[in-house]
Amino acid sequence: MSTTPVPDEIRRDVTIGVGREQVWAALTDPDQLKRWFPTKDARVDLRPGGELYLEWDEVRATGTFEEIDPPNRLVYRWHPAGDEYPSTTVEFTLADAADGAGTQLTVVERGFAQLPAQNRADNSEGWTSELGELVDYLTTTLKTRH
Amino acid sequence: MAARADPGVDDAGAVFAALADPTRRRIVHELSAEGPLTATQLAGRIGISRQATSKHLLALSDAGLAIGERLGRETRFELDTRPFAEAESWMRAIGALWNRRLEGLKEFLEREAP
Repeated sequence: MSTTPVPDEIRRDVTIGVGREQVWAALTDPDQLKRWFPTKDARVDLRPGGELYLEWDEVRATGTFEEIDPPNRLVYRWHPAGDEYPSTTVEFTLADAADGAGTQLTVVERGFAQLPAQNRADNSEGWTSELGELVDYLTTTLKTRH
Repeated sequence: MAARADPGVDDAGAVFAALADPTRRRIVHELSAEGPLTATQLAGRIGISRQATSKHLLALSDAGLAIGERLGRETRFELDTRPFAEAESWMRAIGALWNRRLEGLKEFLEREAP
């Protein structure tokens, strides 16, 4: 069995040469979201339980804000491919960059291997990495057998 | 750009949902280690009833992860690895989307914002 897991989350870091307040504003102001994300339309109801709405040519994504801690942390759960598809959680973390100039922004999207509701009760801790290893194993090893 | 937010989300979602069950993950492990097996053989290896095994095999088949081949009275199941690869490439595509978004954000803030 492979020991290199394909994680059930996507994690990206970027260092941006502006302060955390400016990054926060870009993440939460609909007009700015439209420009960089970029989307055709964006609506933001910035409060816990408030709605996030993003629209592209063919896809509309809705979400719900879960954590709002300006200018440090922003978490929402959304349906990135449309409401009929599964939801994932997106978590932005803002920190001062190491050299003091700018902001280190980390985004983590997770929950691709979310459990169906009926299975949550017996959810084991290791499931997420286990799935990653399994998928990794099957895609890298078994392909050669066919 | 960003006409599609998530390529292959249908298939990937089905794969992840089918594998959410621990017994089904054991079945997948058995099939990947041993090659094609019948429900009876799998039931013996995993230690659950043949009926329960058949139910799980049906779920795996519905997700496109297992293919049944009729063999006399029994059906022999083998893994189809293509959906796993699709789930993996879907994750890669989403990662690429975030790369683009964060590049866009950085450029926007560093060049265009006051």
